[in-house]
This record gives sequence, C-alpha cells and structure tokens, in this order.
Amino acid sequence: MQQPESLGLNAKQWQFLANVNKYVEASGRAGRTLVPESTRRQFETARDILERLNGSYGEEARRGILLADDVGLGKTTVAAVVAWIVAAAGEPRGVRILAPNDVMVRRWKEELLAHVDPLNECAPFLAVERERVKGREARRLRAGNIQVVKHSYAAAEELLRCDLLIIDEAHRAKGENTAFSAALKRQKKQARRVLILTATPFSIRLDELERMLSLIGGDAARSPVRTFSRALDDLYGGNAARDPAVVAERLATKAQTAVKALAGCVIRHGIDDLPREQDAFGKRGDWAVPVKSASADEIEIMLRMDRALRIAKNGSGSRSMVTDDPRFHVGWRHLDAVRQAVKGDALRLAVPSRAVVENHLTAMQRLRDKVGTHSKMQAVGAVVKATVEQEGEKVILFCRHHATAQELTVHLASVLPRQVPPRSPARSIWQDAWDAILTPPRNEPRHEDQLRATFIDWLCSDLIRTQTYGWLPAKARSASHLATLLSTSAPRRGLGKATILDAAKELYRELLRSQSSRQVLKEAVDRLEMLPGANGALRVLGVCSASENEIEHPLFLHNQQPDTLISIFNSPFGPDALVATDKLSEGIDLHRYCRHLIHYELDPSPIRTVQRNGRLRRVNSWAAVTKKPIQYAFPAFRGTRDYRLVQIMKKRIDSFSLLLGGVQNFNVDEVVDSEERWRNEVIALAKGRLQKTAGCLRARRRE
Amino acid sequence: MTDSRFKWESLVHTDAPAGSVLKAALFTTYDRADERLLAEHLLPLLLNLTREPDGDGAERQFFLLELDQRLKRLHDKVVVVSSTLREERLDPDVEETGAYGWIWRNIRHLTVGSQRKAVQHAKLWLLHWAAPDGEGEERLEIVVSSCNLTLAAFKGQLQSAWRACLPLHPQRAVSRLPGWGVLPAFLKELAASAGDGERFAAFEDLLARADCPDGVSFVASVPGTHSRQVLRRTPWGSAGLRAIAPRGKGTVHASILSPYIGSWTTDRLRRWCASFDGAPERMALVWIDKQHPWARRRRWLLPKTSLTALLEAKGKILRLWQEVDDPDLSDRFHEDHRHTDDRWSHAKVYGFQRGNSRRVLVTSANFSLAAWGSEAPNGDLTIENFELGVCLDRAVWPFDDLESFDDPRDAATVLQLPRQGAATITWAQAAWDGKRVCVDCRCEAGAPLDGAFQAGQKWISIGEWKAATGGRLRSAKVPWPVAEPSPSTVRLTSGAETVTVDIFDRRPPLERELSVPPEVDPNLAETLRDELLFEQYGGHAAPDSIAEEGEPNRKGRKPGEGSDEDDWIEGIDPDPETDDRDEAARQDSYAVPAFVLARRHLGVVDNWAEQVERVTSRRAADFERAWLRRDGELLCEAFKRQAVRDERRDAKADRTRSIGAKLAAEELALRLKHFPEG
Repeated sequence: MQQPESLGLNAKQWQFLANVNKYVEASGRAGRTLVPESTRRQFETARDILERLNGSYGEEARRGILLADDVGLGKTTVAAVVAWIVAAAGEPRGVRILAPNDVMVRRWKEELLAHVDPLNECAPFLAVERERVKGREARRLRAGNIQVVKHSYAAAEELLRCDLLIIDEAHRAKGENTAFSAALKRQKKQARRVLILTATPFSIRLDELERMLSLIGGDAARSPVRTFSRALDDLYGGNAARDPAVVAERLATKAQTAVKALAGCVIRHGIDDLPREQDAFGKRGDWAVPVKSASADEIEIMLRMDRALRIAKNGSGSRSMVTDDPRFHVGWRHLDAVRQAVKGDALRLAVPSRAVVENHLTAMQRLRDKVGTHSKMQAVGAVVKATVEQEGEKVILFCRHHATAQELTVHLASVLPRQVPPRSPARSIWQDAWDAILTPPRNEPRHEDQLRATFIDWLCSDLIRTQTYGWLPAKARSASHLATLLSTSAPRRGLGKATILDAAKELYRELLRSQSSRQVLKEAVDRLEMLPGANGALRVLGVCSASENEIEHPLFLHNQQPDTLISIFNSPFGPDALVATDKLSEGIDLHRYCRHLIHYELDPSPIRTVQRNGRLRRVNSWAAVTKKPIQYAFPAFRGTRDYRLVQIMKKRIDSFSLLLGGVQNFNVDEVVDSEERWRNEVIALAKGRLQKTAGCLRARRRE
Repeated sequence: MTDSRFKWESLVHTDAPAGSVLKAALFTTYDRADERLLAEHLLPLLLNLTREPDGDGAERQFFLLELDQRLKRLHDKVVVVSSTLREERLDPDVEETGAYGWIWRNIRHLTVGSQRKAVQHAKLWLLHWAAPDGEGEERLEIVVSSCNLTLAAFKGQLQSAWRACLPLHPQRAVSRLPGWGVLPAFLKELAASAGDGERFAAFEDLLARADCPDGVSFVASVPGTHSRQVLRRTPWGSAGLRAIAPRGKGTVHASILSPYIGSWTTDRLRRWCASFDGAPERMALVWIDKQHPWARRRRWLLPKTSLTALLEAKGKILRLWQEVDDPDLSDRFHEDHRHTDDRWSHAKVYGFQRGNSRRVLVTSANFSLAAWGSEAPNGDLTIENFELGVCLDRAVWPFDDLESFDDPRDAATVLQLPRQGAATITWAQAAWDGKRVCVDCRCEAGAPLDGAFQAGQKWISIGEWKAATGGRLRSAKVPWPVAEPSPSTVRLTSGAETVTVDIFDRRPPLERELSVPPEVDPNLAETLRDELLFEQYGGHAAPDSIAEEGEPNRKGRKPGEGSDEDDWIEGIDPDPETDDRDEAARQDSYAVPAFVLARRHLGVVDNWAEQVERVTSRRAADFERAWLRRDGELLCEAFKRQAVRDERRDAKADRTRSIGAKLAAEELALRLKHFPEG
C-alpha cells in the first residue's frame, strides 16, 4: 500500500498540549471549567493522533485513525483540538467534520468555539479565529477553515476534498448498505487523512469494524479481526461440551493478535481503564429491578394476538403487520390498538378464519380485563416511585418504541402522584424572591427581560415551586427570607454542592445559550406549558410522540426541540422521571442531575445500549458529585422475547468488551441455560487472559 | 425401461417423484410375503416412514406405530396376492421377538385357488401414487420382475425387473385398456382366482387412466386349460409369444435365462418354439457347469432329460462361467456384478431375435410347461401358473458373448426335479368385523379340517364348518366381540397339512384406530400416536430440551414456523443504523419456549387446514374428506392431551407451556364446526 505523504506538521506546533494546567486555567477564564486529569488524557490522545497522522518522530504517516473512546470521555474535545491544529498550524489546511444531525452540528461548533480563547492564550501562533468555523453555508472549504456538516452532506454530489475528514458517530456507517456507508466509501479518497470517532466501532458483527478499518487504511488489521470474529462465532455456535479453558485460551489468543494488529490505527480508552479519572465520572453499578415472570394469562394474550394476526394476514393478504411485535411483550397499549384494528379486518375474512380470529379477539378482551396493567410496567413503576420519592433522585427510562414510551409515561404518572403545591408561601412571594435574586446576566440586552420573566414564571409553576419548597431547610417567612433560603440551600436533599439559586442561574444561562431554548422561552410567554415541568404538578414527562388521548397530552413534550428539556433535566428542577425514545440516546448530556437509567425496552443494537448508558456516565456527573454510583437497570420480562433480548444484549456486549474492553457488561437476573453458563465461563476466563493486552489500544505517552 | 441396456439397482426403490404419497398397492408373489421384508424394508420406503425399524427404545416404538398408522390410512388399499399359504412361519418365536404379523390387519393378503387349483407365480407391483401435497399428476408405477416378496429374494438373489412410472389421466377411459394387451385380463383372472374381484377393480381402473408405454407389451399366463378360441382372444402362456416375437421372415432365435428348467421333450420344445416361429436348433439356454456354486447349492435346476431333449433337438447350451479360484476368468452375470457376490440369479429373461430385430422378455416364468403351458394335440393349452412378463422392443440381450459348453456333459443337471405334494387346503381367507371371525377355505372334499384362531396368547377352536360346492368350500363364523386381544391368525389343519391365515381387520375405522402393534407399550401408545399424528401434519414431537428457556433454535425452522420472521428480524422502525442486523439476528433468536411450542402446534393446525382447503377445492373423494375430518377430531383430542403433558413438563408450573396446545385444540374445534360438507 502506498505510504501517505506527511501532513507537513511539526511536533512543536502541539507542544503546548503538554501544559495542561495552563490550558485548563485559560479555559476557566473563558467560562468553561475543565477537569485537569481528563484534559491531560484528551491532550495526550490528540497529540498521539497528530503524530500518527503526520508521521512524526520518524514514524510512518497513517492514513487514518479510529478513536473509539468510551462514551463520555470527550472524543469531541480531542477531535476539536486536532482539527484546530491541523487547520491552523503552519501552512493552513482544510478540515471537515461530519456530524450525525443538527443538534450535533451545533454542539460541534460550540466545542470548536470553546477552544478559541484558550488556544489564543496558550498557542497564539495558531491564530485561531471564531470565523474559521463554518457550516453548510460555506460552499467551498478554504484552507485554514473547519467546516461542520451533517452526515447526509457526504452523500451530496460534491466531493469533500479536505486535509482531514473527521467522521463523528461513525457507527452509523456500519451497515454495509446504508447510504452514509456508500457515501463514505466514495468520499474517503478525497480526504488526505480520516479521523473516525465512535464509542462502538462494531455492534452486532465484527465485519462492521472491518469496514471502518478499510476507511482509515487499516486493512492489515482486517484479517486478524476476521479470525477473532470466527473464534467468536465458534463460541456462540460451536460445541459447548468442550473444555472452557481451551476455548478461552484460543479466543484470548485470537483477541490478542487482533488487538495488536489494531493498535496502529485504533485508539481506545475505557472509563474503567482510567482510575485517575473515575472520580470525575462516578462509579457504576447494577440496578436490580425485579420483574416477575409473565403470567399464563399475559402469555396467552400475546399468543392469541400472534395467532389472530397470522390468520388475518393469511386470510386477507392485506395486512402486513408483524404478528409477534416486540411491543406486545413490554406493554399493552400497542396490542390494544392492534386488537381494534384486527376487529375491522376480521369482517373481511372468510369462514372459518373469521370465526377463529373473532374467538381470539373475544378471549383477548376477557384476558385484558383480567390482567390490567402490564407486569413489567408495574414492576418498573414501583422502583421508579421508590427512587424518586424515597431517594429524591431523577430517573431516565429508555424505550425503543413510541407506544411503549407513551404507556410507560402514563403508568408512571399514575404511580407518581401529582405534587401538591404548598399554600404558603404564596406564588407571588416566590415570584418576588426569584425576581430579587435571579439578576439578569451581565450584558443581557434589555429586550430579554421578558425571557427572564418567563423563566421566573416557570420557576414559580406548581411542580417547580413544590420541588423547590421540598428542598428548603426552613419555612420561608417572607420573600426576602425565601430569597435567602434559595441562595443558601442545596437542591435535591443537599446532595449537590451548588445552591438552588446557582442551579437556577446555570439553567437560565443554558437556556439562553441555545437558540432553540431561547425560542421556546419566547413562545412560552403566552404558553408556559411549552417549558417542561410547567404543565401542572406532574412529575413525569414523556419525550416521544404524544398519545392521541387528550387527557394524556400534558404528559408529553410537545416541543420538538429537545434542548430546553435537556437543559432542564440537567438541572435539579423539572420532571423527576423522563421517559424517552432513542432520540435522546445519542450525543446528549443527561448526567448533571441524574444517575438512574432504566433500559425499559432495549434496542437490539448494543450501540444503543452503550450510547444510552453514556448519557449518564460523563465528566462531572451527578454520580461523581454525589459519590453514589450510576445505576443501570435492565429489567427483563421473563418468559417473553423481552427477556431474550436482554440475554442477547448481554452476549453482544460481552463480544464487544472481549476485544475492546471497557464496556460494562451486566447480569441477567438468572442464567438458566447450561450452554450460556459454559459461554460465560469461557468469556470470564478469556477476559482474565486478556488482562495482558489491556491498555494496548491506549494513546501512547511521550515522556 | 427407457434404456435398452440392463441396469443394476435395488428393487427397494421407487421412481415416483419425491414426496409422492402411496394411495394403493398391489403386490403378487409366489412365496408367502415375508412380513419383515415388508415392514422393515419395502413399506418404510413406499410409505415415506421417517423412523428406523432397528432404532432403540422409543425410536422403535415410534417406527412400529408410524407403520401401523400409515397402514391404517391405507386399510384394504394394499393387496398382496401369493400362492398357497402352506408354508409355516420359519421361526416360531418370531411372534414374541418383534414379528410383524399385525400388518395383515390392514393389508389384504389373498391367495389364488378359490375356484380351482392354481399357482401364483407372477411378480407384479402396481403402485398408485398421489402427487406430493396433492398437487400435480397422480402416477402409476409398475414393476414386473422375477422377485418374490421374501427377504431371501431381496438379499440372496439377483433378479430381473422392469419398472415404469406413468402419469395418470384424471379420468378412466376404457379405450386405453387394449393398449395394455393381456394385463387387464390377467388382473381379472387373478381376482377371480383369489375370490375377491372388488380389491382388483381399483387397479384395473388405474390401467384405464394410463397409457401403456411405447415399445412395451405384456405376456401372461393364467392357470387353466384354454381353447384355441380363447387363446386367439387372449393369448395366454406360449400363445402370447407369437405376438411379441420380432416380425419378419426367417426363424426366430430364442435365448433363455432361467434358474429352473421344467421337464421338456424334443416334441414339447418344438411346440413351444413353434408358438413364435422359432425352432429348437435356434434355441440357446444359458446354463452353469457342475462346479458352479449355484449348482452345488441346488439353486439352478435342469433335469438331465430336458438337457438331452434340447441337445437332441440341436439346441445350444451356453456356459455361464464362474471360476471359483480365479474370479477374473468368470463370466459375470452383469457388468456390475461383483465376483465376490454370492447371490444367485433368480432372473427369468428370454431373448428373441429375427434378423436384426430383437426383443427381450423380462418375466416371472421359468422355462417350464407349468409356466408356458402344455399344448394338447387339439391346440388346447393347459397352464398351471399365473405368470407375467413384459417384452421390450430393442432391448439388448445381455449374454451374447457366452460360448457353448465344450462338453455339454459338464452342464449341471439333476436327475429329478423336486416334487411338491398336492395340497389339501388350496385357498383360505379370514377376516374379523369386530363381532365375528369369518374363515373361508377351499379344501379337498371329505378331507378332515380343524381350525383355531389366535387372540393374544389364546387359541380358540373353530367348532363348526359349513360346506358348499360339493364340500370343497368351507366356511366358519366364530363370535369374537372383544377388541383386546384382537384375533390375529387362523391355523387350519387337514391331516399333516397346516395352513396359517392372517386375519384381516374389517372393523369400521373408528374401532380400528386405537389398536396398536403388540410390541408397542400400551402405556406409551397414546402419546406416541399423538406425536405421530402431529408429525403427519408437519408437527414435531416436542422434546424436553425445549424446556430450556430461551435457547435459540439453530436447526432452522420447523414446518409451521416457516413463515415467521418476527422472531428473527426486528423490523418495526426502519433505521439505517440497524439495517444489517438481520444477519446477526439469525444467530440470535428472540423466540421463547411458549411461542416456539405454540407455533409448532398451530403449524400443525395450519397444515391440516391447508389440506382441508385443498381437498375441498379439488372435490376429492369422500374417504379423503372423511379421513381429514377424523384426523381433525383426533388432532383436537391429541392437543388436549398434549396440553396436559406440556403442563407437566413445565418446571415453573406457570402453565405457559400448555397454552399453545390449548389454543391448537380450541382452533381445531372451531374449524371442525365449519368443516366443509361434501
């Protein structure tokens, strides 16, 4: 393979990265607090990437690097520093960044801009400027500029010629047949260097990793990866009567060979491999949410639905719905909706199919009346209630489907009763107190007074007022006393360091920082309910498509821009339980005031699981602040495919962590299958042997 | 046979398309049909049995029950016609060690001789095949051979056979029958001699639905004395040879391969040859020398007088060599025939040649007067045997290379052919209708006759015989209204002669369906029968292993699960990120036991319902509809029992395993309510 020519960079140009403290201080002065230990590792990584891409210190230049750090370790920060140096050091160069969606494009820009002041202070020779960060509007990429665009931009006719192409969340290109994947194949030759960012370079199959390797010129590693992949297939498909030690040895050997081959072009840090940073991330723990096995009646409902749909499908040839829909296993809402639809379909069926379907529908109605709320909903509802009411913690629950998320939201709202607002102090006193202490930020234009007023309105709404009241150590006697209490008390049972006022100020700043939140605040002047938590005293919010039932409308976020919600969830205020689909599982911080996550309904892809988990395990997480572990729950509804999905997820996570390490595996509540037991033993033994290669993929340190 | 050359293949074989279903079968044999051969070799092939007879424990039990169930489905549709029943069973202990006598409850076993003395020596198989899944053409498979239905014939002998598998027209046409030559008439004569015309009518119907293949003609013999007038109409025995001999001028050359040569004189030889424009001096007999193993074991028999007659008539005797010490020097019987193969030839093949025209006759007929007939001066032909052969145009005679004996005295001969004493009991049949055991037999007038039938371990004497036709036809009816033990065989004794007759079960289907072969454990029978019934409709006996929760099914899907993609492909919200998850999902099934079981059970219901639909759409025979309805009822009951069994297997006792079977029973009951009327 032809060796790529050097980028023409000089190691001296990133020497400033060695002085981490100076940079951290400069960043603090620019309004952004960095954790020195994490920044040190991020800068080491950036330096290593630059050296490898440039071919410094006599090393051969590399065509590309795959940065596969765990979610939350700051891949964006690393890549942003790399992007600035490549773009600005010496002879200017063009850098392109592909981000998955608009939100991420915005965050990328924010990240790049956040480095402008500190870079100008620590590396003035780079002469970075805010104006160099471009969006889609820049038709041509000029040298020295960094353009941030969405993934879909890669599919455009135009060739993305550049010196460095950064592909964020590159796991979206893993499907061989996706449009993004095809576009990358076409575009990769246009970029002199490629930096791929993903926490999950493969999810279900290892050939996904192989495809990424081909994008960065890592073909030499493909064969050992394939060999390991075969060994892995053998683990899951081969004879389980073999000696586990022998199989583990073989698997570990193949994994070691693959890891060694990957080491040249892959950099990866797992949070668990970084003991010095763990305090900033917080510890993690398994959260057991016991769910009783599906009852015979529940299974019968699902089986009858499966059967009725099959017959309806074959009989009419029209309805092409999935008969054993995964949604049927985790809730009743979708099943009930389908039941109604099948009633209509049955009329078109011929005898005897019609009689059979109608019989199933009648039986299902009887059984539904009997079983009531779904068992898994009940079990999870009870745990969420305890966590919110007894521990005073926020909980995020992820669902794969909207119908499930709707049903869960409604159920949680029924078990978490509305807050009863305190009669005293009166709302007007709250208003006065907040007005007195929530002074407008410096330089805030006058016309934004209205935004502040809206925000204070929101702080005085039933839910927020009730929450805040609950955190006060004493009864407020007056507005000024209340203002004092708000300025001196900590929210959420005093677990955090900041005061209620600090948190409110921080939230207000966040809201103003985001264009969309600003817009929401503007519109909320007349419709306060647009702000999450303002809709009465409900403690649950569903971030999914709203149900058609009008009574349930207040339970759902009707605002399509999630920034406001995210900011509020990252504050001590607002909904205690957030039910979300995977729209919120990627690229979004939810960690500042939440350390409880329930995977109510898994997506089959482990990427989703890893990404969901990554929402909470981030620097300065609530877990780190409170010194309590992040709790991940994988409740499994035994006897249904939901349970199998959790089992399979465990297997997929295991496969991932065997090769790359650092991904948290979890326990399924009971392992019943002897083959599975055997596999677990093999994996445990192999992991033990793989300790030797642990750290092999870490960024190299240059002393 | 489309190829003019002989091929080497096992007779336990069928040319019917894979998956074809046997609807009826007629087998003729000289020796009493061997139940073990039928049960362990021939029927498993023809009935598509899925289990092995020599399996252990449950496998064997399943095999027996499966065979029994299939035979019940073909009750009275499989007919075996043999010669006398005089032979005793070789092994008296066989009953206890796994005998298959019970197959005759459903297979009609007939013997010839109900009207007069007759020997059934023809070897004909007529197999009526339904197309796989009831779609497409039905077929008639015809096999004409030299092979008896005995293990010895299949294992220890080489046979000649011709086989054709012909498409059947939907409707019969009498106009097709003449195309089959003497074959329809042969069936009629056989039916008359067996005393059961009803059984053969269906097979004659099949001939009327098929076209006889080109280049094929049949030559048959039926016992009796046939006048010239009769022979002109229906040329039995040697009279049929004229029609098959090549046409033209000149003398027809005849070559004969037959392991048994009757007593011939020069005159008889001349008359036989004259029937096809031949002459003894243009005749060649393929024979073996005295050292040949087949001679030493007295497999091939040639009376010395017949050899002398042949040589006197200037006929040739060709040597089929076998050099014991140096097999390479031997004339192999067939190019694929291995030297070490110690099977002996029981084939009967005749070659006829006039000029360059050749015919080969593959037949059951030995070269004997009993087979071909003895011609009286008035031209009447007296034949003792039923024989059947098929003559093929342009077929190649396989022994053209043989040379004459240097010294004909080296030929293996016998002084006298073994004689079989005249039988007293020449024909018998027995049946049980659930109330009485009815026995009919033909016995010499005035000869003493004792009888007893066996039911379980008991022997019940037949007290009184009624006589007809001058005392030769005798019958008895003995009350036996008990289902268990059911009567199995009748033993008839006349002086020193003993004949064993199997008792055909003539009870109505509902009474018959619960009987099981004696070897089957009655405690297991119900479960096994249920599982076989499920299997018949594409189901699968549920193994205990499925109790292991969540184990993906690596072996792929079972019938009835075929259309299900839901467990394998997550396809609700198309997401580019997970477009490629299918491949991996194949390894990871989300199927859970309750669903797997339910789909398996409901798959059986689907297959049954599909058959009902098919039968309804093609207006199938009433009996097919009745069978399906009955199967539906049986399946419904079987699923109710399965639900109980599934519940017992349920380790967690949460009743989830049994739901599938309950739903299947419930749905069947509903579908039976709406079963289409005929």
